[in-house]
Amino acid sequence: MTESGALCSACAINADISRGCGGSRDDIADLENEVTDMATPLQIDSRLEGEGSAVLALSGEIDVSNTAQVRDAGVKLLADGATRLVVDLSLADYMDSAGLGTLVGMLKRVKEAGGAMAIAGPQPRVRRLFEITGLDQIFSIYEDLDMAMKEVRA
Amino acid sequence: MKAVVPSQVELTIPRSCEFVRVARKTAGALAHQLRFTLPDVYDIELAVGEACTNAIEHVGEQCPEILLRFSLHEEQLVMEVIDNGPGFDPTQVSPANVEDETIGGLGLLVIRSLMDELEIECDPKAGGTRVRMVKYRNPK
Repeated sequence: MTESGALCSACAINADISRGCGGSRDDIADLENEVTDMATPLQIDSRLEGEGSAVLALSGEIDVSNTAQVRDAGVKLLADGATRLVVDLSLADYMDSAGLGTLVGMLKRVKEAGGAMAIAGPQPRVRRLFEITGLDQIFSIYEDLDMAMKEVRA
Repeated sequence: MKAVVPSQVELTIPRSCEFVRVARKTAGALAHQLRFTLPDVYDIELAVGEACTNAIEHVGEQCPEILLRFSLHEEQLVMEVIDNGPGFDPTQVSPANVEDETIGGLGLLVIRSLMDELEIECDPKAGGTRVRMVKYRNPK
């Protein structure tokens, strides 16, 4: 084998390049750059819209490492009086099952408060996750924020 | 960088949710090298992320690291997620329950839906779990 490099101080990557892949360090550096370039951190924009409605806009990547932030933002909106909640996923590039689980928990809290919740504008690959898991039958999913807001205010 | 196949890449990550992203981005970069379509690259990232998340949740503190092994071939990417935790019986994983915020079992459901092959091997005596996933560039 083997030439080894490091993506960071805490994880190690070994590439078996014994089959003739030259420039091993450069190749691993290329891989590192590609990995870094594709990262889009989560950003949360939560806002009250009046009459008990609110928008929780999530952009970037929602995964197991940051779902606690999403949950906390939703809990705070409910604590501030929101019962009609739209989760705007139009700028969410990625979501995993932990993210879905967080949305399920949020839906449960909203329903317990007698309110309504809708999902707005998920990108096709995020929407597919709802469909794979059957959760598209549980959530009200709309093409855009306006349609979703109209639904929760109805 | 042009993909050289067959070849193998190994990645070891700490048992921490913060490093799931590193694992799935590596998987995505390798799939990109093999010229998978972008939707397939996304599926591969998601499946590897789910497998790592499952491993981290199940292994316990006695297993500080998760090993990922990627085997690159002309028409397929083989991904293994290996831990030395106590192991679990995949047949005993509860079906996803939407009333439960943790909705256990959802990760495996996602992996099964996205991958062309899935094998889970557990050794209840010696411990350890190996999740092996295969994605074909042109599905069978």
